[in-house]
Amino acid sequence: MDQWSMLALLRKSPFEFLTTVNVVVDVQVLDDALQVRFQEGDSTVTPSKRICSGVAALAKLQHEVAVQLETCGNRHWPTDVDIAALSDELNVSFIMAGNMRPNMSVASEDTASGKVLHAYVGMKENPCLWLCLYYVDEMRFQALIFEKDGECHACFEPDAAPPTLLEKVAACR
Amino acid sequence: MQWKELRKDFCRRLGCEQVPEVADQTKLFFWKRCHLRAYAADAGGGGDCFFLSVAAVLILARDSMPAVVDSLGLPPTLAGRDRKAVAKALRGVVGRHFRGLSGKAFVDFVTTVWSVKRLEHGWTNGLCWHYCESHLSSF
Repeated sequence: MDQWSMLALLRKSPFEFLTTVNVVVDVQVLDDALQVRFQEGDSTVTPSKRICSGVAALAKLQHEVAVQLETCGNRHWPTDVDIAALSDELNVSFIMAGNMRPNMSVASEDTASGKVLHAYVGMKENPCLWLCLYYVDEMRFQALIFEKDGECHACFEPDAAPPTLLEKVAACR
Repeated sequence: MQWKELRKDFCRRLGCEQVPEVADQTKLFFWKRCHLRAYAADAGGGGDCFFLSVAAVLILARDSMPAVVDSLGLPPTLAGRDRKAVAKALRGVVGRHFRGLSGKAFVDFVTTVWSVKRLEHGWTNGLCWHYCESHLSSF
C-alpha cells in the first residue's frame, strides 16, 4: 500500500546491515561515529560495527523516514506505529475496535475483548483523552461512536468514559 | 430525539458520513458487555483515513472540552475546523516523534521491523513485539 520502501532507504545508508540483525544491544557515540553492538540469528555473540560519520547518517535516515510518515495521502498508510506515536506525543489513548485483528498485541484472558478491542504497544493508562476508532480492515479506519443515555460520544475525558468500556479496554492490554 | 435522528445529527456535527452499522460482532460486543450502542462514521480516505477520523473527532471535541483539546498542543488548525489541515498536523506529530527518537530507539524500531519481517518468512527466531506487524507490509 505504501509508496515508499524502508529497504530502499536502508540501502542508501550505512545501516543496511540492520536488516539481518535480531537485536541491537547498544549504540555508542564515538565523536561523529557510531558503534552498534548487535545479535544476529540464534547466535549469542554480540559483534559490533563501527560506522564512520554514523551520527549524521543516522540523523539523515531518521529524517527521511519521518518525511515519509508525515506525508499526506497514499505515501504511508497509518498503522499502529502512527497510533503509538500519536498516543505518546499527545498523551491520548485510542479505543480501537474492529472485527479484524489490526496486527496489534491482543493478549487477553477475555477472548471476546481480544477479538473486538485491540491494544497497542505504548497505550497510556491515564491519558487526557480517550479517542474511539473503528478499524474496518487494513485499508480503513473510521470514527467509532458510542450512544448512551441519549448522547453520542466519539471520545471521552477519563472521568466520563463508561467504566464498563474501560474495563474491557484494560482486559485486552 | 429518536436514535436515528440522534445519530444523523451527531454525524452532521462531526462532518462525517454515517456508515450503516458496525459489524454485528462488534455491535453485539459493546451492547452485551458494555451496554453501549456502537456505530461508525467515515471521515474520508485516500491513505489518510486514520488521521482524518482523529481530526474529525478532535474538531468536534473542541466544542465541548476546549481546554482538554487545546492542551494537546496541536497547531491552531483545530480552531479553523479544517479536517484536512488537522490531519496534516497530526501527520506532522508522527514525523516529529520519529525525528525525536534517540539513536538507539530509532535503530530498535528499524531492527524490530525487519526481525518480524524475517519471522513472517520463517527463517529466524526474533522479536515480535514492538512496532507492529501491520507496518511490515509497508516496508
